[in-house]
Amino acid sequence: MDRESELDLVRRLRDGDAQAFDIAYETFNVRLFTFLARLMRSRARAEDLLEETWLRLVAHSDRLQPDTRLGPWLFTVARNLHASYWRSRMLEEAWADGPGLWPIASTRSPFEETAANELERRIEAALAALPVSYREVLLLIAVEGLDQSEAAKVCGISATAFRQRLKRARDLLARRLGESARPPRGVLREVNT
Amino acid sequence: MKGDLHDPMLELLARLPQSAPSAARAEFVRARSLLALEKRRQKRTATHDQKHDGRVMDAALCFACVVYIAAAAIEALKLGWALR
Repeated sequence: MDRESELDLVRRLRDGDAQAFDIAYETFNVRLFTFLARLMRSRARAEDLLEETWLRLVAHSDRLQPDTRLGPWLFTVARNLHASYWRSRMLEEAWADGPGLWPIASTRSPFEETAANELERRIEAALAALPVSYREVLLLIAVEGLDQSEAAKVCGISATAFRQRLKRARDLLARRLGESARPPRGVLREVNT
Repeated sequence: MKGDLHDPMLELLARLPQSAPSAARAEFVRARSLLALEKRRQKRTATHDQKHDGRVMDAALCFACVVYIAAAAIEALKLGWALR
């Protein structure tokens, strides 16, 4: 979507135009769901937060600034809903292994289940095992194609902090992928004997 | 790659498949959002109409006051002339 169309879409959304909502929905629904599902590692919870994201757009549509970048705005809402979800869960549940800002996922995500090939499966697994603050920067830049300043705003951090986080995330992902490519030590021992 | 970095690792991520919510849920969310949008639009129109009605009432009241004051002034002047 070019900038001109985006500005027009925002203007129409501010006026409560249902067709404009449909266009925004068609453009961003799958992208938002993919982003949320990779953050949440659960289809059901991702669908819940996706619904909430769209309802937030409706509730705030008349207060959108005329120059709003719709994509980053929606990803910011989705990301904040995700963060709120985990914060409220952390308050509700006593975590046996001590408090951590983000949960470390331990089960296979829907993407791992459906990844078409081994490389994709390895990438999905390595991505899912990253802390969510690293996962989100990689998803926003590499998958969603946001530029670094937009993605930094979505995450609520400075551009410098974002660059550092992206580098760390990328290095950690590369390390995890390297580890997963190597055969386990036991296997090596068996081959050597 | 869609982002502004050219990195093989990020390019691998960019090629990962997308996933969509179930069709039924997607349709439900769309319908619910459109309903909420319509309700908001109606509420805004009603508020706008109320404001408009309010402005008309204010203008009418203002006009009545001006007429009353003018009439009172004229009567006062008439009385003044009659007493002379």
